[in-house]
Amino acid sequence: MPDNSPLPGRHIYLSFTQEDDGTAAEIARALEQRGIAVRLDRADIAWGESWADHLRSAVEQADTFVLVVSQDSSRHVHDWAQAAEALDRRGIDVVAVAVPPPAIRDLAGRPVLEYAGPSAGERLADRIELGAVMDLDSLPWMQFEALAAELLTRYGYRSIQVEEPAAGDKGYDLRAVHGSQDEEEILVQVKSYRRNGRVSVNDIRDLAGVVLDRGAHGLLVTTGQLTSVARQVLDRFNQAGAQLQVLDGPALRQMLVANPDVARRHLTSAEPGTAPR
Amino acid sequence: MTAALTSNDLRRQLDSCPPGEGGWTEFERVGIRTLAHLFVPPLQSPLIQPRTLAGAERRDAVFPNRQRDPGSNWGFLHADHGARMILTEFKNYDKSDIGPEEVAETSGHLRRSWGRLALICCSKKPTASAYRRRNTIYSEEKKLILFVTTADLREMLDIKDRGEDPSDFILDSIEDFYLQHD
Repeated sequence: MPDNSPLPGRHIYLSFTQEDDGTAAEIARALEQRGIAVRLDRADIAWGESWADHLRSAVEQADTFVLVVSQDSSRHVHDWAQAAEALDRRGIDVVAVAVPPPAIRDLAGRPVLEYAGPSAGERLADRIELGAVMDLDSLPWMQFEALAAELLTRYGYRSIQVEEPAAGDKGYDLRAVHGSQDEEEILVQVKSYRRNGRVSVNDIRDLAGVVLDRGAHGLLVTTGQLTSVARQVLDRFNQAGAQLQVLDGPALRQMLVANPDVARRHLTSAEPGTAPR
Repeated sequence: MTAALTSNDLRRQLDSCPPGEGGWTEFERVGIRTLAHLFVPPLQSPLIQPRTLAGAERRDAVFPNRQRDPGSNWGFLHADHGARMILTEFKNYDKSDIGPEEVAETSGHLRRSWGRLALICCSKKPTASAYRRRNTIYSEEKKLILFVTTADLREMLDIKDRGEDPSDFILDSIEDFYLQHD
């Protein structure tokens, strides 16, 4: 990594198949011009081996994982989706880049960055730098709550009210409405993993109790991720009539990628080309 | 000096461990390494195959828990379950099932002075009767026996890799047990 890298100490993988050798080399050159060094990982998959298996064992210390997708390599798309989810669970930022004409528009819910035009390298570098500064746990809790409220507004939630701090005991932190007739009351619990804890099974039980009581909907917003046990408990409560949803760390980061102005307002280093040195 | 194992090394070792009798020693070895990678510290290094004074009983592994801050996960488990020593047993079955006998055996190995928490690490999900036996043991003796599959071990490696605390999984499993306990 050169000394003038905007992302010192970060490990960035650029993964591609043989069909996309040329594009991968071009992307690597474009990123290097911005001072971002990448580790090239040409996945030579043996017959019978899956991409997901290859990536699970090959990716050791990645912070950002850039995946090149083209029409020629699109037969692997199911494996890529699995791999992206597995890497998400390890806290790795996954960036899918499509060579035009794009074979896919999204990868398991993640928007795909189309690598076309003279500014393609710059846009990709901006995206990688944005991912590097999206350390939501570094935000003071009140600021994270404000960020969550602004993101919810972008996605159609209205009249967001912050409850008094003592209202935390009620099992939620924000109230909002959703729907064209304001007919849905949403109770939102906001958890910053390092600031005020995680979304545990008990938190889900508490919020489920409140929303079932009030006939409201519930939303759990967290910088972290739920364990599989907590997800099963959530599913059971939903089967019993509670209407609970989760916005976890990976989903929040995808929302911030789609709303970079919100990221810039709340995350001090999120201006393009200004990642911390 | 041997380099410390990474999460990926352990994933590969878990993947390559054959289920069944031929792989039971390896399963136990890899399982202990994985739990140590996940939980030591804050737990102490495991005592492997400790026997009772008379030598009659042999347990697979025991992790001493000296955490006393109830704000930490292991401190909370000490306060709530008296979990001073975390008994861990390994069942690498392929053809036969992990049933009530295995649960009763683990319960029998859990001494009062150690506390009331044990883990059974298994390569496959236990039977429904194993879960029922576990519930009975909790009702009668307040001993809590958690099943930890290899998929759970992999999930805890992911949790550790993303900088969170893998023992969150243990706490969620316990809270889920309470929710479902008859």
